[in-house]
Amino acid sequence: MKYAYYPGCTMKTSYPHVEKSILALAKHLGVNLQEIEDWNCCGAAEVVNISMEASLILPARVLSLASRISDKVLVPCTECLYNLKRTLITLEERPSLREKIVGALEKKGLKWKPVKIYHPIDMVIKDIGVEKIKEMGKERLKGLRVVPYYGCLLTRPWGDDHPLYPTSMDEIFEALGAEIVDYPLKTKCCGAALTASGDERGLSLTYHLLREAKRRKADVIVVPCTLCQFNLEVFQNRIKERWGEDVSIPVLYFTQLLGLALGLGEEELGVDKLLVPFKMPERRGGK
Amino acid sequence: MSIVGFLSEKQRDRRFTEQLLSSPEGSKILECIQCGTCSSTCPLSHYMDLTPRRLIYLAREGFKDLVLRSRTPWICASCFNCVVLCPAGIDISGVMHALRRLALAEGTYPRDEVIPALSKSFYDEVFRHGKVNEAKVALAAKGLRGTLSMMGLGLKLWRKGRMSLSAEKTRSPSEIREMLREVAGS
Ligand code: SF4
Ligand code: SF4
Ligand code: SF4
Repeated sequence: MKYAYYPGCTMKTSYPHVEKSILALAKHLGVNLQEIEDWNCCGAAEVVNISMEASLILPARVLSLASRISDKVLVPCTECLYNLKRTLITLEERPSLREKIVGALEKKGLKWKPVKIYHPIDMVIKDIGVEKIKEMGKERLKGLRVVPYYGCLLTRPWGDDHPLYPTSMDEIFEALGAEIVDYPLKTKCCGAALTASGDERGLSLTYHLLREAKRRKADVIVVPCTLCQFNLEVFQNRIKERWGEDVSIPVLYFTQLLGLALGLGEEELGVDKLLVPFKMPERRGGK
Repeated sequence: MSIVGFLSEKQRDRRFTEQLLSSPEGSKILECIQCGTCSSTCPLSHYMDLTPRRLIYLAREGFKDLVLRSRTPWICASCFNCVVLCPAGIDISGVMHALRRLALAEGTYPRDEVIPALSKSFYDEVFRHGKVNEAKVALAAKGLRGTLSMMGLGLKLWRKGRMSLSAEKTRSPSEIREMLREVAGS
């Protein structure tokens, strides 16, 4: 199993600890990740505010470079995931834009060849399978109340799972022994860039998400997106100051909690870098 | 605080409707049935000066000035809740993006929103380097006061190795620049 791996900008600056967990997990599962050589920014949520064409050429270059490695590209950030999918679909549906974008690629010696776009969750479900994960996991998460929070872009507007009530992570972590908390806000937005920039309108959404997780007595929130991880984790103190409510709860990226459940160490998964520390449940009668 | 006041038919600008209809995201706005599903599912509508339903209506009817001065497109978090539920298949979040581009081009965006400045500095950084350090861009967009307010948090993250201000670059940023110039003209 070989993937072209697209880390995206933030993985290298703000989430090297999350990247560690992705690489460690892939290795553990026997998946070969080859980082795309000389990749560029996907444009995030911002470039499309300036130019539609610019917001397509950036992901198109990434996809073109990826196609040299494999017909599958692994994308751990859901904003990148969305941009790559949007580019595939737009170039498919709009011949005039395709002509323009592909033309510009070709001028730089880059070929346009569509590839399949996978999130690490897709990789686990499609390539490894929940059964196998269950076997490997030995119910290490027994006793842990988990909120799988999906956010927006993993399932909307495109994804294999239900856009508003997805269950992929529920199934994976249930197979690992966790108790899945019924969490109706699982695809409600965290406020994205608005929240990350410290804006209180965005922050109020994150507050609601955390408050509900606490109210339902969750031990941990697990997320498929680095921006969700950031927003839900780093503003917990500010939320307490602003709304006077304790919302402290650990927030792990998908591959971090999965890695722990498969017996990998905290450090190799970057779990030691969390601001809100997380401990695995004590296992009865064993280490 | 409403920016609508009273609507006057004099404000209608037919060309604006045409402009939106020809954008990749706005091609279906005439099909909106004003059901309000978008507004009711939007997690941020209570902060908006025009709810998504109203915005779509006013945009497609050509009330350019109102729409391009609205905060709504800058508050929208692109969560796609409305998009997956809209019975008319309208890419509401995409229309927000088209409106952002027009408001930036016309200079009518609300000056106290942070996303316009963030978008510009983000684009500049991609244009220059091909890659982006988001923390750096965010600080540039927030100005000194905003930066100071984030400092305590920044320090905590930095101690954990979760914050870097290094400049990331592709091997040949000029290649990206030339491609951007060719397709986007700047
Ligand atoms: S939940 Fe927030 S960070 Fe996650 S995908 Fe949605 S907007 Fe983005
Ligand atoms: S959900 Fe769609 S059809 Fe209904 S008001 Fe919103 S844009 Fe119009
Ligand atoms: S995409 Fe924007 S307008 Fe639509 S529901 Fe989300 S925040 Fe509201």
